[in-house]
Amino acid sequence: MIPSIIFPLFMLAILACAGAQATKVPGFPTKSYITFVIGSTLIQGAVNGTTVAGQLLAGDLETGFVNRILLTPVRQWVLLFAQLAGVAMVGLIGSIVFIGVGLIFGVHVKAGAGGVLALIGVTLLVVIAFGAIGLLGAALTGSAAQVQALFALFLGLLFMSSMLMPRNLITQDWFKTIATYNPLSYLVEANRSLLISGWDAQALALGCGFAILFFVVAMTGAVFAMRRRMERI
Amino acid sequence: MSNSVAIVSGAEVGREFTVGEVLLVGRGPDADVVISESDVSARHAELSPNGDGIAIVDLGSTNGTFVNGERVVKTRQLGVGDRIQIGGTVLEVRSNTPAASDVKLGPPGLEVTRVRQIPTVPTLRFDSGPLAGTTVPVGSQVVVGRDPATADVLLEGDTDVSRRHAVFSPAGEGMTVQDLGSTNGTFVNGRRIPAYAVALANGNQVQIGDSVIEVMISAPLVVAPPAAPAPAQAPPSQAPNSIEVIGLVKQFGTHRAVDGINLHVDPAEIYGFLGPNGAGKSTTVHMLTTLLPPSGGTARIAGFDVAKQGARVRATIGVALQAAALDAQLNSWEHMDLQMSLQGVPKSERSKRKTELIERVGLTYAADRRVGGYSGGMKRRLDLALALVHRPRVLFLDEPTTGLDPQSRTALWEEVARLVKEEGMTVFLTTQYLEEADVLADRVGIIDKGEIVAEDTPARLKAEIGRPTLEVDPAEGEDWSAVGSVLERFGELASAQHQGVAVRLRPGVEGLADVIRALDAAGLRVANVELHTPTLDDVFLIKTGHSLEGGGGGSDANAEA
Amino acid sequence: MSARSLAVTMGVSRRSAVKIIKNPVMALAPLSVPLFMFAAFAGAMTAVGKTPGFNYYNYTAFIFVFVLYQAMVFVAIFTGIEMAGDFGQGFGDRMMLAAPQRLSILGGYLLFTLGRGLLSIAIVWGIALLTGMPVRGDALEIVGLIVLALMLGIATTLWAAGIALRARSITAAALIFMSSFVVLFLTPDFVPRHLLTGWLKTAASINPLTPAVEAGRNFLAHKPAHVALAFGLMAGLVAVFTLWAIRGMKTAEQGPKTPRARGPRARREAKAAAAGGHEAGAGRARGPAARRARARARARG
Repeated sequence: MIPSIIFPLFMLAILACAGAQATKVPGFPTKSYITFVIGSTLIQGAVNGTTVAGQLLAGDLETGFVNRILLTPVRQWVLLFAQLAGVAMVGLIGSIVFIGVGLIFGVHVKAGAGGVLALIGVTLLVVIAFGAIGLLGAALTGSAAQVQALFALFLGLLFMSSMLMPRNLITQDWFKTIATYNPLSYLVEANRSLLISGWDAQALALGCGFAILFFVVAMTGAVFAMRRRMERI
Repeated sequence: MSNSVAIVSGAEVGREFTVGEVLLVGRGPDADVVISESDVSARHAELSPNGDGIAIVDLGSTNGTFVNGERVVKTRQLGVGDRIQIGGTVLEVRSNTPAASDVKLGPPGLEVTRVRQIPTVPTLRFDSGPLAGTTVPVGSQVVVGRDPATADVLLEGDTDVSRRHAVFSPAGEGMTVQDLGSTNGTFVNGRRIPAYAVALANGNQVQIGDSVIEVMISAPLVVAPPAAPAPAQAPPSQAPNSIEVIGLVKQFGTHRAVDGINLHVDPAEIYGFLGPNGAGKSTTVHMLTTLLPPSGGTARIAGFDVAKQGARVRATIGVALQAAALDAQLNSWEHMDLQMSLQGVPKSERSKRKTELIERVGLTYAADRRVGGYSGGMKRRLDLALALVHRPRVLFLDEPTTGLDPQSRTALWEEVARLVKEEGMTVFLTTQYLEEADVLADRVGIIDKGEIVAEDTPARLKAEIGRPTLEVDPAEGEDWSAVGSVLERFGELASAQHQGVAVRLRPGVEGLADVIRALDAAGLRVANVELHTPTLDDVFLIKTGHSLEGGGGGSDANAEA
Repeated sequence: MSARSLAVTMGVSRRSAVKIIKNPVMALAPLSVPLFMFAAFAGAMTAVGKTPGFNYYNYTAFIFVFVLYQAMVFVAIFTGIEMAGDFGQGFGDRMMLAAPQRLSILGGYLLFTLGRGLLSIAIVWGIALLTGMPVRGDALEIVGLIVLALMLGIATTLWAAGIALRARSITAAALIFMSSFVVLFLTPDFVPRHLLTGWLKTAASINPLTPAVEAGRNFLAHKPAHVALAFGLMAGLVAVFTLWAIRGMKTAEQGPKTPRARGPRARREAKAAAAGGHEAGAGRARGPAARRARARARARG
């Protein structure tokens, strides 16, 4: 609960108050910093899907519980997708909580009620994508500790995105370049577009596209990695 | 230099007689010391030089000879200051040895602090106990004990002394001491001696009960340098390696994990502490090793109170706990470095001691590897080595072989036995394994639900609850009553566990051989013979009502919760 | 401190240092979050430094002080988590069994925090200077800033130690992390205090760490102000948390937590047990061994 919901909410609360000055930067797209930053809060919570799915699987691999399940007729890919179901549920609860808290504290969703549903949808997609990455990490390493390290890496990458400031207002070129090439920027911007711009097809396409790409690559890799792991046993 | 006696009361007060040879004391004309009183016999007593003191012998006088108010039975050794009463006359024993201040040596600045006569005959000097101040020459065998009929030196009133406790014997220019099967043991320089004769050296300290006896064997007279300041440790006379527990209690909320236990562990003894999970074993060990404060009672380790002198207790003990608490990231050498720092082992000794201990526990081949990769047995061996870095006097082993394979277990037993035998270490061992207690422990205490329910040697505990039972399965068609008749010669017939004839063997009947020979001589054929000896589990069952192996409920951890 | 206690302190700190040397990635672990934050804020938010009301000389330098303190706090958090693990998994018992004075064990962890903290400070400074962060403070002011950071690290370590020693379990890691991490964020972290809004402004105004953050920034800007207040508050926190940690060690020496005796009978029993086991009824000394032991005790007086 703490990394999934409480910690992102805490960071939201801090940034909302501390980042208000950022709205005074000429060209800042909104007067409400909390509206600006909640999009990344949703992604921050979603990135935790890596840990939720990955640590569960890694734990089961370490204890040998997976072997017991695979002695039954259950297929490996079914097992993996079943793990994601739990992750999606956690992600759904998290996004509802974040949006609810945000709305209470003055967040305005430019895209309206449909935008709220789209926010939840995009966030769910990101949760499942990162859940798949977690499963890949677990299948490759079999270690809960190393999956935890993956989460820390992605959190760091999130900070190195356009999480705090629109890319066009970043004055440090090196950082702007990193944020431009960082795929997490597009996940954040997809959510942000619904909050600030309304329906921005390009932003949504980029964000969802990256999420789907992550999911497909990670899930494929996880299935192959699990097969190889089971063959070794 | 010989001693003298001086009259301090009666006729001729002040007259002094040197006891350089045998002096007859009496009323008769041929006495050397004449006392003309009606209570004095013609030949009353004899005084003779003995070692660096005087011996007095009563010659069968009518009214007796008294030394310091006690009637002399046969002979009595006298020391300086003793007062002899014969009739109404009192004589005092005085020394003719010069005082240290009277002795002058040539080189200036050299100070004489003590002058002592070393006797030509090996001698025992009693420094404490009922005979404090007395010296006893050991020209022939001297039996020390509490039995007036057999003891040459009588330690009356000391209930820790057996009737025939120990014997001192001259051996060449020195002497030996042998324990005669005493209950509480004979100690030389703090170490309990085994059943065979042990050679003594000049200055050795022998402890029998409350008596500490210094051994004096002929050596050149030396000038003793000023005494060095005593180290900040308890003196040896305070049982240096012992464990003493009185009424120890540990309460967790309303639950009493340890309920007023009492025990005493002698120096160089292996004490096995047996009991099921949740009995209070580990809680007791935690209190004795200062990891837990007692709720009540007292415990002293090597003379130090666990509650008030925790730091000193910790300096004296080594501990290998139930969970070998090791850091998976460090290797054996690094663990040794840390433990040596924690225990204050001097830097100059560390390198050699590290290597010695790692070799001793057989971990040299793995010492560079991280402990995280060690097997359970390797971890336990390292744990034992770590417990020994500072040469503790008392070693606590909390279930040291739990989870080990038989080979590792045996190796650890051998090491523990060696530590006791060669280094005089006292070992307090908790275990769930009966075999371990049986093999290793000199004495066993059985704890159940926080109380000690039995305590003695394994053999006596088992003997107490029963004798071995021999069960014979007669061959088909054989005469059972005839088999029974033969077996009856060896004890009382008992009920058999299986189908057969059983006999509870009489004390003294130990082996199967006699019984088998008897059956064979009677022409009786048997299909099977089984010998059932009582086990410690049987002891536990009798004492507590449930079995130790597989018995009890919960764990010590639960007991602490 | 006696030679023995010093040996214990050095042994404990050396052990932690050896683990870091064998696993160099662990040396960088406390720096990961602070450095990412430094990059994120110094990279993304420099435009904020040019907004009206922002009166500090450079935004990167402004963020740097917060990141420096955060690095020290993370070092302390990691030390606290290590302590929680040690005391939860029995390694703490090994140290308690050997150390004559158990507070020297705490000293070992503190010494290690100082060493690791100095390393982290050096790395953060190095990275900041490499990015071209301008430094206006003189040598004494820089030393003052570093001392404040070290004091924060010590205070946090003592706080974490108190939790670890009371909990004696790795599950205390979450509490150590959250309590230490959160408090630093309730300061003027990304903008000066007068530019904060809402509840954060109130929280920062009463947070005892705020003067240290502001004094550190003043040192860096060569405009020392509120120095005595900052050092006084930090010293006060160190003193209070020292007592907290010492009490924690005393609690650890008591062993596992004991539930409070409930009800008059239970309280009587607990009191009687504390007064003397063999007088509490069930524990009367029995047998020849007990009688001999009592006789010896009487003889000793």
